[in-house]
Amino acid sequence: MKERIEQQKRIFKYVLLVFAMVIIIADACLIIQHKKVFSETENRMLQQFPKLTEETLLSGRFMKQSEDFVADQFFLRDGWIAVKLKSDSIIGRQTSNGVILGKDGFLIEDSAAPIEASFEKNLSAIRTFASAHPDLSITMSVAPNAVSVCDQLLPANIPIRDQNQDLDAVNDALSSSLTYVDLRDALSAHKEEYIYYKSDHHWTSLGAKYAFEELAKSLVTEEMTEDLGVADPMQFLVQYTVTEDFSGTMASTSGAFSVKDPIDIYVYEMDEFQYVVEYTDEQRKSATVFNSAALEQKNKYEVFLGGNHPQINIKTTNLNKKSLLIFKDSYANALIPFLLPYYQTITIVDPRYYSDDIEKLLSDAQITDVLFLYNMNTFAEDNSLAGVLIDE
Amino acid sequence: MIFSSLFFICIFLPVTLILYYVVPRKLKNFILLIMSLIFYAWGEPVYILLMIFSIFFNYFSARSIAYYKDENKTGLKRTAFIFNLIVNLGLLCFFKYYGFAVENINSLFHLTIPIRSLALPIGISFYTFQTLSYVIDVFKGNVPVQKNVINFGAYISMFPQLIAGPIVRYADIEKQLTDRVLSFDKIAEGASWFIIGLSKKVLLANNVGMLYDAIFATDPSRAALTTWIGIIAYTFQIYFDFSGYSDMAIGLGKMLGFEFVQNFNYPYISTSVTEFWRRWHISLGTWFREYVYIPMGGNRVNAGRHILNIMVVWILTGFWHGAAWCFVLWGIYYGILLLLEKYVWGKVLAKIPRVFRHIYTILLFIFGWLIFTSTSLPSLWQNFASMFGILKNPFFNAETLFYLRNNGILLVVCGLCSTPLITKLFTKIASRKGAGFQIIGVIVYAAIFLLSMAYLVNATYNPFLYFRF
Repeated sequence: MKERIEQQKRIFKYVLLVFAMVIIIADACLIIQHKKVFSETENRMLQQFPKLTEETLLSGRFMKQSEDFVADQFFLRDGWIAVKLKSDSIIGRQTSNGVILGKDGFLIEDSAAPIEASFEKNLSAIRTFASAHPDLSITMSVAPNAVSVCDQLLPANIPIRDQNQDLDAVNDALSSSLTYVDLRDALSAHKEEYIYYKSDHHWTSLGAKYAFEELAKSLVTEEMTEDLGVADPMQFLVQYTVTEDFSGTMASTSGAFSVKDPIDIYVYEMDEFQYVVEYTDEQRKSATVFNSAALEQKNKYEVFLGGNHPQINIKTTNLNKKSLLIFKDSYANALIPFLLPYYQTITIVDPRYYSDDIEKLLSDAQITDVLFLYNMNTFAEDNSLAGVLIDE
Repeated sequence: MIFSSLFFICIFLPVTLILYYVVPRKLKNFILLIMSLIFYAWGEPVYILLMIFSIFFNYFSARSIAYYKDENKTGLKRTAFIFNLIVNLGLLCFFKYYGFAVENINSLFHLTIPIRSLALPIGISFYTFQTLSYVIDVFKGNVPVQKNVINFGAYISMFPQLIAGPIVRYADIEKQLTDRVLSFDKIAEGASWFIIGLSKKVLLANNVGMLYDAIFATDPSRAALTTWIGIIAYTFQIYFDFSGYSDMAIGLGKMLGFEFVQNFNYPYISTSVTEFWRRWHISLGTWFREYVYIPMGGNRVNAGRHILNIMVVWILTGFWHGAAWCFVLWGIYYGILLLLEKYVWGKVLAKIPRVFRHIYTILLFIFGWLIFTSTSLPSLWQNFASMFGILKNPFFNAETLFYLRNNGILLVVCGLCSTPLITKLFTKIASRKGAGFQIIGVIVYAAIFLLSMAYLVNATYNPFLYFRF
């Protein structure tokens, strides 16, 4: 018996040693290690050593920030998270931090339930906008997400919200006011192909291409094709793989950091066709919609139009007087490259960041066509579109 | 601040221990008091004033009670004691039950008295009961009055048990306040307790908690078996959350040289409701027995009075857990069950096979938790009906399979860890002769500690249930 107690005491001593070592290493790293300012995997600023003032102390902000500081600057942060993910998967978990761990290494964003109030408000704002502008040719499309298109990749029996009911709701609410293009069949037909990224919540250029082909049936008139002087501009598309090393938002959120994707881009290589892209917020111009600097950073999806900007103006060498205004989220960024040759100007507005007068923009840019292009998950939770469309 | 956070483990704990062990013995209680006050002020700085008031008020109040006792002024002694009860219980009621009372008065008399929502001072239910144990025992002459305000302050505010117990009675700890064994062995043993508690909280409670949250966020028309999985998940969550916290408190106490009473003794292996309450939240049960039940006459009264005593104690116990009718109902539920076991079927129960007694007890505490976790009577009924398919819901469906596939192993681990089996097996292996077995023991501890740290780093999900009380 005494022997046993002695033995246990020895175990406790070594346990204390391990306990103390981990704490000492953590604290040593906290002190010595270079403090990271930004976390690429989490896409946010990290907490720095907090300022101690009377104000921060009494408000409790100092305490909150101290806790965040220790957590944010913890050594081998990503390593710990990977360990957690591994242990989750060993015990059979098929989701991680809300991300669905699909088949073939696909990390899939769960479907989002619409936020009732803003969802209805957006739909009615679009209807109001359409009836106030009968002269404009208005098209809308809400892209289904991987979670509903690639159902073959989902774990068996997983309870998810059916996106079809929400997509139907959008269709029903708007099809009498504008031209609504349902992308579901077009994408589902290719669901075995690489149309969504494994590590990110976006569609790939291939997915966007299939969506464009469906959209073009409504957007592109015979007249527009005739003006181009070529039967099918898409035959001039050339595909380039710009990176093999894209690790997107789903990888970050889930902790599956090792999941990587290539990014392909499609470029129209037609003689005499050129365009210029103007980023109004940065007062910067570019001769391409592709931003190669993004390939050096974590979020390589920003290769498309350099990410989200409040307003982007594109002018092309097409002189058909067709001017398109796009209201969109980040899904559209991968699709816009396909639209380029068909319009004289394309004006892109991201309502989440846009604050100017839309009526003024309509007349200044002599808009003839409008396209609303969203993905279902973003559209379900968007609370900015109505405010931009209707002056309240 | 909660124990299961990187900040507590990596900063607060080592700083406290270093300060505590470098100062001479005389100053240790002072350091403990200061660090406890910092710990308390961390979440809600204003309430440190409340804590300091409580320390001084009760210190002087108890001394005046002791003074009148020495002077044989019984009337004044009684007055001072009653005044103390009014202030302590008044503060508790004001912070904890004011909103609830106003709400009910408003709806009863159709009034619109404004409800001011006050942040509940952390641990007020726990430290108020600790304070009362001291004052009552001083009044009754069971313990000598504490003359050193720092020792007294250290007892009231002691950070290991400040937030979620165990409710340490002053009588149990009086000697330790001035004379306790400090040793390297005890620090080591304390660290091991802490790791066990941490892993219960972080690895088991938080993970089954997510399952419970996911299931109970859906409509009660879900499959019956899914509702069962949900409530079983909650049953495990509340046990591992609370007993994990108690283990961490006991471990921290040991690191500081204190020995706290055991708070949980495998309650889920009980074979009767009576036994369950001897094993669940022991320190709370002891408190109510010592300071409410026995003073009311306990069981040395006629049956009618005894029934009254039991019901009063259990309504209070329910109400202590929170200001809502479901907690009161939960208390009544257990009061009735205990009476039934005492007066109606206790003897029959003792004769039936053990396995049936287990099933009987498990079902009853699972229903107990369903009452406990319900936010309203209609939702309680809906979920209850869902468990038996009364809502015309299916018995099981694809969703049920998914939850089982994703959480089956976790639920089995929780089940095993609710019994002494794992601990027994571990002790048996680790205490065998030979260095190899020791190494296994250390590796097991190290592995669950590192895994807990991994979950803490990932902690997007780290709510602490007992903050509500």
